Amino acid sequence: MTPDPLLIVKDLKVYFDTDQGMAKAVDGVSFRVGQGETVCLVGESGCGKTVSALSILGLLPQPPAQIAGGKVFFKGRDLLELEQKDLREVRGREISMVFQEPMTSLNPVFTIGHQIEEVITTHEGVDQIESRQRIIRLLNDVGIASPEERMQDYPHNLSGGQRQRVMIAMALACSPELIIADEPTTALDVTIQAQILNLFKELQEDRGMAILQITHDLSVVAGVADRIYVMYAGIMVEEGSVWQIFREPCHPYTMGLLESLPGRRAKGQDLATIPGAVPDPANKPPGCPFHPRCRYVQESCRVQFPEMCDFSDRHLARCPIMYAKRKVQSA
Amino acid sequence: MLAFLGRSFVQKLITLFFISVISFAVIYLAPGEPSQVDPLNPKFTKEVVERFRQQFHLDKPLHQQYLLFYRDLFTGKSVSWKDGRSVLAKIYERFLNSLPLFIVGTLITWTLSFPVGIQAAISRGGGYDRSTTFLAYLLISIPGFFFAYILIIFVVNTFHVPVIGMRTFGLSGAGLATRMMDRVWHLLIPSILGATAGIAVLSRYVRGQMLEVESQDYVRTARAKGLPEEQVHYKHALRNALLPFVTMFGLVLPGLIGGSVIIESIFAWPGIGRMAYEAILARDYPVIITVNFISAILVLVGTFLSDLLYMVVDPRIKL
Ligand SMILES: Nc1ncnc2c1ncn2[C@@H]1O[C@H](COP(=O)(O)OP(=O)(O)OP(=O)(O)O)[C@@H](O)[C@H]1O
Ligand SMILES: [Mg+2]
Repeated sequence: MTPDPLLIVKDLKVYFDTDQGMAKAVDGVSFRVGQGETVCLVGESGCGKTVSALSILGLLPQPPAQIAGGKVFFKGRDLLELEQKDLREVRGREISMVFQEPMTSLNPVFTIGHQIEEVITTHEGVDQIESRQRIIRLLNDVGIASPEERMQDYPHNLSGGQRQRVMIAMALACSPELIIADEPTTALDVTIQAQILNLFKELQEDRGMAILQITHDLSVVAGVADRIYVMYAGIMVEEGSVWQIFREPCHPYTMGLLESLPGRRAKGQDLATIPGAVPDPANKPPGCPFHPRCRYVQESCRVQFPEMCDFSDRHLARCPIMYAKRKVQSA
Repeated sequence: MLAFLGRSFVQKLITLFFISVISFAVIYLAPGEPSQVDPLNPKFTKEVVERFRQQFHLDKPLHQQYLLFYRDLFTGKSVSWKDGRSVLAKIYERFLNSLPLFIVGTLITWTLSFPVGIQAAISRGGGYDRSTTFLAYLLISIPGFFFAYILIIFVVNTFHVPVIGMRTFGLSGAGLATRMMDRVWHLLIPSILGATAGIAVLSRYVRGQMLEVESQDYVRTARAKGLPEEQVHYKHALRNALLPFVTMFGLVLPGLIGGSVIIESIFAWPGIGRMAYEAILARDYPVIITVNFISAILVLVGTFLSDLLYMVVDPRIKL
């Protein structure tokens, strides 16, 4: 039994009006996040992950951005249609965000205690004593030692990992149903990365909120995700369960991503890379945007924009060529 | 903290010493002579010139003149060569005249620049932003004296009040209210004029600062928390945008004595800027150097205050 999804993003399109022309940073992205699920959005740098995430909460400055189409249903309401006032009530209370850069995402001139408190007082009529206790509990939950003293600290007193913990505490403050974590560990040391990912896992087990994890690193998601969406150049190229994606990737891009993971190759062998580079969003190739880098490329890929193909149970990939191949194999 | 205060004080003293040497040397070594000792001056005989030279210590070697000059300055004995009055008394009298002009001008500048600049940044690219940008560049590029005359003609024609000088003469018999209003008019026009260029420049700077801060990650975080826009702009962004202005605030202090030569000249305002200008023309060395020296002290005190203020407003700075 699957409950109604919490978040449904449908055919989202976000364009930027730039000097080089219309940059279609996100060009028809769909995904859903169920209650209490961890869903991962994976893709190379620049493929539009952050833009998609920010559009969900209306956080992209418009202009230069413009939402060219699509719907973002959260518990049945289209967030893109909401009034600013109603949207503000969603932000921080029902959906919160943890950003990519812990070093710059906290305001340098306010104490961290105050910055967490703001979330609580904005959304709930809580008195000082109670909110203080709650802040201490939150900091404790995210693994910050001696929270009473730490809450008087300014961001510059904390390390990157600690700041990201504070950001997470802030995101948790009003017990949201969904946390969007935009590459929360990219800017951190490898050891700290693991700690933060574990923290997300523990918090989710305790609180049961849904998490949209955004990352460019497939190995990060293997242990935590329920479902994976793979993005390329502003479109979704494959979606499926962790098992499906890792065991039987269907899109050549996903295969490339998996092959380029360290540990997938025998010792001494060079790491595989995908030749070429991500296309410029203002100047994408016609047909399948991946075709210039694809080893299975055929004539039709250069002209025909590929459809999503249904490979198996809830496992889709945007590659008719592979679809035909698999059909032949299984027949 | 105490260590910082001590260190800073010593540094400023050393700086002040060098300033005293340089400003003394520049003035004394500059070409031209005070009219009293100018050999070409037909009014004075050779003996009179010689007497003046002795009286002003101009017959001594330069380093002795330097010592004598600052000895006189610190003991309060230094006098103007032009009229023999105490330099400090002269400066103080003119300072009192300049003070209201400075205070009103600075208040107008700072209280208008910030709202205008902030609003322009928030409505970036909008009608308000465009029109204030246009106005700012207009005010920056229009020559001050030209704008002054337009303003004077406008005020005199429209309100039929005189605005030149500090007050209208022959009003002593009039009632208190009339005299007060007269002073206000005389003060207001030069203050506004002095402030316009300042507003134009400062509001641009405020706008730029605010725009930069508005694109910072922590402003996005504030918005993502669900804070109302007013709090995002006026609390999270503004607090950070204001930091650099603390430095500028310290540098306002020297304006106390520099004043504005142009404005004071146009409006025949007997202020300190005009006195310094006249002293330069008359080569009245004691007045020039003393004004210079006091300005230097004000600059140093201003930067010191800025450092202290910065520490109060920016938690990242610990001294
Ligand atoms: N303000 C902007 N103006 C113009 N183009 C933009 C703007 N913001 C983003 N883009 C473009 O949108 C595309 C997607 O950017 P986005 O930040 O979503 O990438 P990402 O997948 O999050 O990458 P990363 O892993 O580096 O964070 C990029 O190609 C970028 O050039
Ligand atoms: Mg990103």
